[in-house]
Amino acid sequence: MKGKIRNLGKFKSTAPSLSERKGGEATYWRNWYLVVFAFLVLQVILYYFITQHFKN
Amino acid sequence: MSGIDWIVLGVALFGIILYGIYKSRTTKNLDGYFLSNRGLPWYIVLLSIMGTQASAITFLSAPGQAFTDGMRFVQYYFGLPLAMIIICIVFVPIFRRLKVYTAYEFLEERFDLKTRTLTSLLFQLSRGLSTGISIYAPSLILSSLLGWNIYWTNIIMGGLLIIYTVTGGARAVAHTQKLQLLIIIAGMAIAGYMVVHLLPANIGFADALRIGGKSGKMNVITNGMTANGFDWKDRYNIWSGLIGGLFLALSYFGTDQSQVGRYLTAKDNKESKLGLLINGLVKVPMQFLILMIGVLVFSFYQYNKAPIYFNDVQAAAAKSTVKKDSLENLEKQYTLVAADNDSGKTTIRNQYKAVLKRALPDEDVNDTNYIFLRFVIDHLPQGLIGLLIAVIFLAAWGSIAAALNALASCTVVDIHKKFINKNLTPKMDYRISKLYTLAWGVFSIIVAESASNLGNSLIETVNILGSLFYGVILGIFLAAFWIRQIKGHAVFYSALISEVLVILIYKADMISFLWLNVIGALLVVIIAAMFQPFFRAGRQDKSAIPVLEG
Repeated sequence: MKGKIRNLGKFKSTAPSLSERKGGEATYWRNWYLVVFAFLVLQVILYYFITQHFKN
Repeated sequence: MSGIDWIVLGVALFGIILYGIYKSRTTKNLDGYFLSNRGLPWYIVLLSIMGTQASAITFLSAPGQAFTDGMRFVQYYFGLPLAMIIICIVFVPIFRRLKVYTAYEFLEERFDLKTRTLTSLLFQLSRGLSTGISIYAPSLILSSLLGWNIYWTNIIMGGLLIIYTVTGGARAVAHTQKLQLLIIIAGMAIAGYMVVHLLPANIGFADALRIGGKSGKMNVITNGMTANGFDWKDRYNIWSGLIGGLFLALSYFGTDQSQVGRYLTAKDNKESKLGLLINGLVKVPMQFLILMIGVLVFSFYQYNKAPIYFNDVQAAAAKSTVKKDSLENLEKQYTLVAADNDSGKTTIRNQYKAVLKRALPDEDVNDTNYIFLRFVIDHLPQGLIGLLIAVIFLAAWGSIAAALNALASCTVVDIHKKFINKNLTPKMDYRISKLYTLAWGVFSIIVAESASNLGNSLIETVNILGSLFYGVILGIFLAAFWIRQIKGHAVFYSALISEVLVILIYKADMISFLWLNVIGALLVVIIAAMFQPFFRAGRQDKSAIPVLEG
């Protein structure tokens, strides 16, 4: 068991730290919010063109 | 309805009941019964959120709305994606961190018990009544078109789902909603395909839209402007949709327990948020496609004679009055108008409705909700009629089941365990929760049966009823989240005053009902901020608990 712990101690973790993970999570959600917002904007533009197209 | 239709309808309804009972295994405590042990994945949460929002009237009314008024109804949903973002940032983290059962528990933490109780009661009153109407409205349409007895239709519409809602709680509700929504989507997609298929051979999908467009049905974006400036009474335009719709969706998804209860069933914060955000992505296109079916039906009727009035039963009732000759005269004139003469047909249809209103002054002579189902019954093949009637039942069941679960959770958690018996064991909690679910189910059916005696104008009245309460409830939550200085007494009295003012504004008929949500919310916040200096903060200061964090 002790040996295992020593080995783990030598192991350099590549996992992000807690603060990095929190930052990563914030970015993850920010990207989601942007996608939802951008998709709404694109739809409004598309619907505007549909309205104009079928008017004539 | 043919034998095949009855078989399809029966299999769909009993299949859902059996599936609900099969999925009823849950731990016998409040967490298991009302929140499915907070263990559902995001896609079940998503389907549950969508199944709760989409009632029978959504599928009956939306195509009819596009048929009569065009596609602009879709703008009503433009605020929804924005509301999903705000709810993910503000509401979800706080509700989940406090591990609440109902949204209103948070208000006791933030303000006090009386504010929590008032808000919960406002919700229970409006949701209890509107659930009764959610049963009555589709029952009325089905019974009129198919000649069914309205009382029995109400009992089947509101009664059968009680079986799995009582036995399985939130878990059964969520899993049945998943299956219901899949059947509904399949049914509507087949209906859309069939409308195009029934058009003349030389008319395709794009042509059908062009025909609709020529008659102004492809008016997806409108700005509400008239020669005299902005029309505040115009219900559906981009501004009322974005602003009024945002407030309505914020109230509905952030403060209505029938929705809050859905995303609280998720495994964690992430699953709740994903369910809500993907709902924000798919809801507007889904409504767009449902409305498009209405435009296609409109084009179909340019080549096939449309009924002068889509509610036969009401027309027959009117013909038993002194207006019989006038109505029959208009029907004769209508048969002489060419199928593609839209303005001529509309003029006669409007005259017909005016005569109907004089013949039946207490009844609503709006046949918008009957258009789609009339088309289904008159023109779709056997089997498909049964499927689409099943779609109406299942859509109703999805929203009613979630409402019953939410109403019971509020009565148990906000009222029973607070004022009647605080010391219940988990087993007693479970038993009492089942009893309250049953009681709310019976109450809703009684409301539906009583509505039958009051005429169908009640439907619109009770739809508007939601907007009378939602704004005020949202205002209480907005004050809780964003204005640290506002405390319990100020928000409680401002909510009472705002509610009276909202009702007065509605009575004065100054503005379209969507704006009442904005006005109610703003009134609560402004009046509470004005009142606050007159109340000493003292011991009721609990602002350390929630106010906004990531």
